[in-house]
Amino acid sequence: MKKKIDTFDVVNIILLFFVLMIVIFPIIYVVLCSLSKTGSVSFSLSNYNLDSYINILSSSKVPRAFKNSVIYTLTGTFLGLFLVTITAYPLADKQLKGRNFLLRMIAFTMFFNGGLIPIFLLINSLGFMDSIWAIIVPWAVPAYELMLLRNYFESIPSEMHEAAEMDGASEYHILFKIYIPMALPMLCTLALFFARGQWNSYLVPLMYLSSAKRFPLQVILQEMLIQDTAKSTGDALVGASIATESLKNATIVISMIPLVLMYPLFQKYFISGIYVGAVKG
Amino acid sequence: MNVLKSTKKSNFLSYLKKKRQMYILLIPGILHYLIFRYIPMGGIIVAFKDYDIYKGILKSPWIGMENFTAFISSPDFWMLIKNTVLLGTYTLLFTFPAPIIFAILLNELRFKRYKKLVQTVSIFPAMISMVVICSMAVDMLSPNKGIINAVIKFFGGNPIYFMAEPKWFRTIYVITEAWAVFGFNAIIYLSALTNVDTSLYDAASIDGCGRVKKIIHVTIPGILPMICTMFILNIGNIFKIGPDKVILLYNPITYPVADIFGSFVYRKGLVESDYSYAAAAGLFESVVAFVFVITANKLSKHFAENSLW
Repeated sequence: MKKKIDTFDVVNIILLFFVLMIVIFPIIYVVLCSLSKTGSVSFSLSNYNLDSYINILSSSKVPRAFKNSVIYTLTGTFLGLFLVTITAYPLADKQLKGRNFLLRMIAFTMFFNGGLIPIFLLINSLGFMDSIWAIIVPWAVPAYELMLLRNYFESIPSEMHEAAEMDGASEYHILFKIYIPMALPMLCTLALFFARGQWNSYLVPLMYLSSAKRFPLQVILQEMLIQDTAKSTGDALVGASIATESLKNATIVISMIPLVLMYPLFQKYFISGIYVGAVKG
Repeated sequence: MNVLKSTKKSNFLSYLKKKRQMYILLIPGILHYLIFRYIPMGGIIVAFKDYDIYKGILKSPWIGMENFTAFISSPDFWMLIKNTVLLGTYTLLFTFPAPIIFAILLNELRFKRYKKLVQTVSIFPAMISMVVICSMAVDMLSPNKGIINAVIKFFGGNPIYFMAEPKWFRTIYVITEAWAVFGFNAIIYLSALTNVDTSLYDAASIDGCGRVKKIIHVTIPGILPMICTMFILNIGNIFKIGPDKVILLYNPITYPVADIFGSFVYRKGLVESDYSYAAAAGLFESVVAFVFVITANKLSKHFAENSLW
């Protein structure tokens, strides 16, 4: 089976090149718009400068939102990992009494939930409104991730556990010294799922946060988008010194920087995470 | 009898003592599920009440099925059913085949580096937030500055107000969705493709099959069980379509085609503060979605058994 390029290969290469372009084009477009004076892409170099970035970074709004996003993402990821780990570990013990009941109780929430309003009223009555609590605590132990990790723990041979127990190790010790190190790839996958979710989430902060100083980046972007949509539906055509599109796209580029930096990790663990999920399904 | 009972009890106690640490570890997680998943399920009773912020859920007066009858007899009801089912179905029909075709093409690619490049790039959209994706779409479709309309104008056409024309809403929704997920969803098929028996390809070559014929007779049948399972599970999710992206892309002009259960509940409840009515609409959605998902799961179990012979 030595390589001989046939028509099929040529067509395939071209098709996938199109796919590549379709993915890359919008991203390049965003970068160009963010640098453009007019907010639209053109071929003349004089149309581009860094004004929008200077404007954004010298105002307090976007840097503050960036900081908020970092705080929410780190807190959400670590709290989520911790809670999911300590919950998944006992649930992976097949001898534990009540395990099946608890598993069913957790799985049921994947199929049925009370809906938006009851949880909103609950969070409101707990006094979580307009605080980091509302956007992290109620979503910290997602069922799917919990089940993924439990499956992973179950796949670790029980001899490991028995041997450690013989040596008199406590469950806490076994979890932190044996199970967590062994499940590290899975935990990395989960960490990235959590981080991605928290960094990108906009509806939850939009619903539960009211003071602008607590907004994460995505909510700022959502506000900018709504203004833009209003414009493109023809409602308002306002002129400004720097085109709003440029400012918005510069904010988008800034919001994507952490994702680009983390991308090699994402790529590695996303794929392995999906494989594990597939084996389970 | 008493002795038996007491030994049973002491057995149970000693068991609890032995497994104490396990149960302690479970406390935060289980409490979380009780408080943030099961209490809201109980909170559904708000749909049967006339909710008053000052009285709270428990003290608000019961009004029975009033919210439901009002909702079901309102013109919104059929519009929401139609919009939710149509948007879910279109999304399924167009975003489902894309990753399969992409995975097969990628699998056929014989240049390792190019293959790696394409896959690396294709997963990137899965990391981008919905706000950013929608924002890109709005920019590119903008009537005065967007590139799509620039092309239309270049060829002498009139600019189209994409975001303001109801007929474009579903197309925009489905295309942005497909763009966002195709690379990520392809991963699962790529993993299934690595399990296809390679000897079948050799046998097909001996029989004189070309590349396209091999795809049709070996590759696709090889991943068909996976395709079927995924398809059935996706049917289950038709009604579960989330409000996030709709809220970003719609506006009052496009409400008649864009509004789905999720966005309706959000707007009625959180924007207009009509909590009880919104909760009734939300409960209806949850129940229908539950039936869809459970049916699909049953089907998939049945089907998976049949397909694994």
